[in-house]
Amino acid sequence: MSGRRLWVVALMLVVGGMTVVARAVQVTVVDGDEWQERARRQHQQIIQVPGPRGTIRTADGYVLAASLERVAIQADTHLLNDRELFAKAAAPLIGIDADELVGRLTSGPRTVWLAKQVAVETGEAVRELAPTAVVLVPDFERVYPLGEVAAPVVGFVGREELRMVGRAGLEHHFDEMLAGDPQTYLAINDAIQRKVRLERLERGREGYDLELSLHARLQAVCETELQRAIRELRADAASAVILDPRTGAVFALASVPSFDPAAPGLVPPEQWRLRPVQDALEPGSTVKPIVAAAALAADSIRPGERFSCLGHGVRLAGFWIRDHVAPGRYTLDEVVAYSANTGIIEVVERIPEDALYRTFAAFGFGRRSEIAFPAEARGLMPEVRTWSKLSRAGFALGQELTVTPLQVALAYAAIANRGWLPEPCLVNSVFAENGLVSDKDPRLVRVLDEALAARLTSMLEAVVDEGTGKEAQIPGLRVAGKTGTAQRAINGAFDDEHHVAWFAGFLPLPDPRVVIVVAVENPRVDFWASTAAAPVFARIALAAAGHLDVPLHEPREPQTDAVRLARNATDSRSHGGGV
Amino acid sequence: MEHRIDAWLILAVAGILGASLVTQSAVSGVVGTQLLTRQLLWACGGMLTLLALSRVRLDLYARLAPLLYVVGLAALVAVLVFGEMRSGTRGWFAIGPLTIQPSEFARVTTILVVAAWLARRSGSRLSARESTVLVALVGVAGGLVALEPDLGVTLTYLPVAVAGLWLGGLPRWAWIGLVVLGILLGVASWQTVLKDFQKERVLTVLDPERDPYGVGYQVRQSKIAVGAGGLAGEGVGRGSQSLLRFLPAQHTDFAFAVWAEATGFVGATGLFLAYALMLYRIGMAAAVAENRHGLVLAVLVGAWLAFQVVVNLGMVLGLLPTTGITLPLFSYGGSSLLSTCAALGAVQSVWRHRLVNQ
Repeated sequence: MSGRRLWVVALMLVVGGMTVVARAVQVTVVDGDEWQERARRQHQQIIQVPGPRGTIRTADGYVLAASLERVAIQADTHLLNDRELFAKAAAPLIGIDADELVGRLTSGPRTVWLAKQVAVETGEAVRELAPTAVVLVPDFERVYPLGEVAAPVVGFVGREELRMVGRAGLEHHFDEMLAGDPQTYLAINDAIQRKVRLERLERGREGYDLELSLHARLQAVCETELQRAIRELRADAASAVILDPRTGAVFALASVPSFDPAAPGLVPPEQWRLRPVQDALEPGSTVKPIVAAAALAADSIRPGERFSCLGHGVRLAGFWIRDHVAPGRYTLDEVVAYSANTGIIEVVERIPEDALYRTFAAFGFGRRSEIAFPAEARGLMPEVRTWSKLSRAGFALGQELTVTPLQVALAYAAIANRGWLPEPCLVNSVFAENGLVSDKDPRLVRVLDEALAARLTSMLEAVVDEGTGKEAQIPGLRVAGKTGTAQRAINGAFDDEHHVAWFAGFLPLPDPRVVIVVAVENPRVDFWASTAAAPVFARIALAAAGHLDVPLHEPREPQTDAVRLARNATDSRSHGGGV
Repeated sequence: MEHRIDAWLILAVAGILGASLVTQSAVSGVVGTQLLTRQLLWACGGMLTLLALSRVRLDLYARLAPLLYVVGLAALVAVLVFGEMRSGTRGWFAIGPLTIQPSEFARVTTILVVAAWLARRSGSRLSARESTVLVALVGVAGGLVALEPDLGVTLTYLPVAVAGLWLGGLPRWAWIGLVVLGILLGVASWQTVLKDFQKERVLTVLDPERDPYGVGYQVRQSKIAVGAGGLAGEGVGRGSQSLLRFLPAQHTDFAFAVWAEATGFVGATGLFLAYALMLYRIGMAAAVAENRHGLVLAVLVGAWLAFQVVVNLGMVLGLLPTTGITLPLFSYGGSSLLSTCAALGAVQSVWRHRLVNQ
């Protein structure tokens, strides 16, 4: 064997070795930057994670909905050395069953969500157990500190992956504003595109905060009183509205029964409804002042004219409308004060159909108030061309149309506000992190002249002082209002089982600060508004007056002529029509 | 007369094993810590094996070679029958938690028998019959490995045969004939034996972006890892290609990429130098060998290790197709590590029993 042969072997080795070294120089030093860039491209990814959702709070400073900073915990099961041991340690931390967790870790996909919306400390404790296998992703939890208070107004959210989506109420209506923009994160991805680490690069616009016109304390009072009414009257449901007649600011929108917004699935979906906005009901006699307004505005009656009120009722197109007032001849004011059905029918028959319809439309019936709320009910108000001979009487008695309690409140606000109909306002302001985004100015439309509004107000004061609304009296406050006992059309027919007991009113006179409407659906113990709805109104009104610092005055004697004249009228009641 | 062991070779081997353990600890987060523990045990065992076998007299290797060779062949046959299947290859005996890969050990016994056989014959040229015997000795063992089938290990038998023929001596026309035959075999196997994925691997070397998410994925990720290491590396345990599992076979075939990503060009060069030193000292053992047997033994071991180092690094750096050849002493694997140390022990026997006056 010659040395030459060994040299050839050595030379081949050197050539091979040098090739490898040259290549290493090329890859690491010469092209290093390019390969580093490629590494960065496949390891890093810009992702967007939902940011904190805005807060919803009331005008009196209570938080109705807020977002808490949480984390979602993700685990790569292949990186867990001992799944059972990990599950036993992690399960109590995240509050689930250890055996169930073992099952999810062993039989599910490789990457498993262990928990979402858990406290940051909890997430970190779980990550401590297996730092390589566990990833924490920023998450938020929606909380409703006041629970059921205003729940149907606020609504609730659902989740799509980590994103919260408003499903009902204001959460739904203002979803985009509340949600804000996603936060931008740098995600470090591994080969199976699992996010190993997250670093926040950019804070997106956080969700805007909403300040509502609602007063949480008034809202809570309303809900408590409605619950009491439902319990005492064995009713199905009840609604209440409190608003400021001068601005349309809604102080309370109560709907009972309601739900826990943190767990809306525990009740049937119909309980999610915000009844005073989304339900239209027969208004009953609460529309009598509107009929009076139509009659006066159209000059359909002479000043001082009296109308026959027959105690046994009146026959109309084959139907017998019974009455419950002492027989006699009543002025228009008295007809309203005592809610005389025969009298109001005589009045309404004088009003041209178009004029009647226009007045109802002007007060906002039959169209949405455009309050910032989803699925607002329009209410049913048939057009004149579809009317029958009975229709005017049906309108006068509040049986041929349906209205929402909010519409009634706004119509009464127009009377209280000297003829100016306000637009409802539920959201006072929208706030961004750095200040106010939008604010709303009250908008008003004149629907009555001031004298007429004053006359209607005195009629309504007489209702409370001497008429059907005596139960709504509050010592020290001048209250105006109207009862309404409506039969409900169920499947197109009225029956004796379904009623709505209404009371709509405002206080204090002469400068009303609040309009309050109460509607109790299907009260079984007592369906008459004077005794079922008026006391509820009184209790809510007293609380509202206290909350809003309405000054009291000395109790005084009722003054109106109408009341004095009708003082001796009996309060006997019979069934049928409105009260 | 027995000399002291070659401290330079021990230094090189210890350096490589140290770098290997650092790399195994860096990937332990990805592949688990128990592999690091085992590799540590095997590294210790390998060193002890090396030291022990360096004391065995050279003629004993020649005398035991035929027996060891037969035992090796028997193990290769047995593994085809009783072996454990791993990703399509039946090449392991499972004993409790440990597995033994006989193809790694059989390569060393083949080297021993070829060295012993070449040392006994005389003359500067191999006859046709002698050439046939030599090729058969390597071919039977390599063929059995090819049946597992384990392409990577089979290929490592190739340098043993070629170096054996080279040392035995063949006329020039025979070498030209072998090269032509090799090309013809290559073309023929391309047409018949090679599977599509193997062809793709070859084509990917020529055109790296050919199939970046399929066949080209491994090499591409390996190059990204080495390149991302840059000059000084990302730091041990910080290599993102490794931690994020983009790098395939991190503890075995592509372990060098992990090392290069962590320590950069500097660390890679250090490892190159360690291998160069190791091969140089094997060459020194060959140069000072007491007899022809020692020379042949050292050259065969050196040729094998050099081939495996160059082919593995060529693969990691995208110069050669992906073949599943590991980096000796560096990639994870007990059989490979112990058999390599055993071969180095035999080489050290050559070194220790060299002539006094040289």
